[in-house]
Amino acid sequence: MTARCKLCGEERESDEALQEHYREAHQKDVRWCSVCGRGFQFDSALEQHYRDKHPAVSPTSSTSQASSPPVTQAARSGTQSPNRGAKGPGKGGRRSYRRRGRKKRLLAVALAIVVVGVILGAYYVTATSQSTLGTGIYGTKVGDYAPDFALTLANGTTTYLSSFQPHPVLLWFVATWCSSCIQGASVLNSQYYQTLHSKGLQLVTVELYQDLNESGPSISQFAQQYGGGLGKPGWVYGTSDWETTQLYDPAANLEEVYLVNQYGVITMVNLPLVSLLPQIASQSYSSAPKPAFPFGCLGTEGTTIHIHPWLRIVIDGQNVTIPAAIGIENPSFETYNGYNVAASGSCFEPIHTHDSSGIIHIESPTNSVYTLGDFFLVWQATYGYVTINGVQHPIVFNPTDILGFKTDSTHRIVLLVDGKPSTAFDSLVLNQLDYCSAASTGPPCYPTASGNPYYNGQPYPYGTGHTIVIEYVPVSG
Amino acid sequence: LDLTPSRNFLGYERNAVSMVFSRRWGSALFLVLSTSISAFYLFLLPSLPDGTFTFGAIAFITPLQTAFAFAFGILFSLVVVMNVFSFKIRAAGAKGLTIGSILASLVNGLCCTPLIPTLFALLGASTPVLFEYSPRIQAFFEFNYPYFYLLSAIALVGSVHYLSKNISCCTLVDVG
Repeated sequence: MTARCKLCGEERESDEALQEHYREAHQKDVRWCSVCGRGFQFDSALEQHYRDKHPAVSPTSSTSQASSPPVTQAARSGTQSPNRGAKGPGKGGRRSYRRRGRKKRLLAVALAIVVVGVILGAYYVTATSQSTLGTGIYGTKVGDYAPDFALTLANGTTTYLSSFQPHPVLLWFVATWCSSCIQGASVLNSQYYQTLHSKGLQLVTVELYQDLNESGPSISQFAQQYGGGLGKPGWVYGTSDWETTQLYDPAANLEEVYLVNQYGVITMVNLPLVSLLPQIASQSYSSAPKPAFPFGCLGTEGTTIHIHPWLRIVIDGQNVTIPAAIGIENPSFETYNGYNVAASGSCFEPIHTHDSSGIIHIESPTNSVYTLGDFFLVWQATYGYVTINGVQHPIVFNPTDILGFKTDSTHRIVLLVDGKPSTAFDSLVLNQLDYCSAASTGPPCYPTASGNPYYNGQPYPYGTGHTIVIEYVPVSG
Repeated sequence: LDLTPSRNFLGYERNAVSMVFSRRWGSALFLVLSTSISAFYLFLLPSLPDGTFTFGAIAFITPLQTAFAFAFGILFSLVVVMNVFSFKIRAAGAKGLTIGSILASLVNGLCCTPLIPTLFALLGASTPVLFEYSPRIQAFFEFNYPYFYLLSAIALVGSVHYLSKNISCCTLVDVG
């Protein structure tokens, strides 16, 4: 049987030969016990040996005895392993080797610090400045108006984000297989649901498109397993399409949390929900500040675009009054021909109304595109809700909802442009739908106050006479 | 010649552990570290998917994570104490494996935090690439984190073995 040297790894045929090897090759690397002659590689081991075996002998005095071979500086440094020492380069080479190793380590540490710094920096940038991917005033960063989107609910029906107004919404996009989402749903259900519900917050949990192409439970299963089921009042589950997923989760995170106030303005974008819940639950949602107007304030009304579409809204045969001063901050009213007219104000939106005739004034300094949805947004930013028969209704318009009146098996929403049905709904572009042109002879489309717009008893049209009508009618109608 | 430690089963380890724990400071340090690290990991492991350390996360700890938290606490403490001992006796330490084991124990955090998407974004990935690969990688860590726990434990055991060998192999050389 061979015996291996524990200092350099060389093998000898017998223990006796190995002892000889220790004496010859490693005399200087071994701390020798002056009492029993045993050898140790380290000072501490020798001291321990003295304490255990020869307590009467002072280690200090013993190790300093002449019988102990001197210990080299290299051996004392302990920075080299015995094996490396036996086979490695000489002293100068060892020092150079160690220097190179130290440089490499420093370089590696510096590189690691740089990489971590860059990652953290990038994370900070992406977390604090999400890009606005929506168009115009819509976007997905704090302060933007949340872009409306269709949501396929777990029961198969379709609804829209805007249909939750005038309630604030906790909009939570999830991948149903991710741990943090599961934790978020569980904590929300068990600890925060009652609080948030009592504060009027609508909880909308949306599965990212096809679970980001990974297999996970369906959104219904997710709700059943972690969210306490599908029947909780004020908490709905649904799925989103690819465009919505890209819009609201551009970084492909496994979850994304949005708080949308009752005006449709995003007040928080963050993740993960489980960590945000205490903060969300501590907020008040009853009196969110009125948002700034969605478009920039105009000192004076613009003239690059100057048109006047006419809108009428009919709910079950009843006309809804579209109020005066939509899009005008601090309006000053004047009586004109017996009607209240918002003649001036501290701020004009490029879309506004002067009276309650339904004439929309688009007076913009830039050649922008304005849609019917934009008008509802300005309306909402101005008043927050509309009262119909004594009941407050959200100011919403999309294919399934007009002012809180939703399509169902008995009712539908019809958009008529010049008397013809249109499927554009809130995307309807108003720029070409002039009812009474400012360029036409006679005064522009104000002041009027009731019925079809007219001026001093003269019926319109002065211009092209386009009309827009939104009707909420029975399906059979 | 005393070669006993190397020729017995776990000879190095038993020898090194007994040497380390024969010091009072070794036992005390181990006790303090193993308790605190285990407790820390009991909160950390279920917190990792959130990317934020929350005490409430312990409600979501799995049995596997519980077992690993204790295993990691004990093994890592042992490695630390043995490293300290190695430093005292000027033997080589085991930094690489230990750091590797710590990293492996933290991979669950790569699942649900924005780390992977951020890395992708940093590399200039386009949106389609981001959507195709980032969730895939995150899902990999979501579903396979137990294997990384195993890897971490193996690395720690390797560290213990390496340190034990350094500590015990050459401390006793009977040269007659």
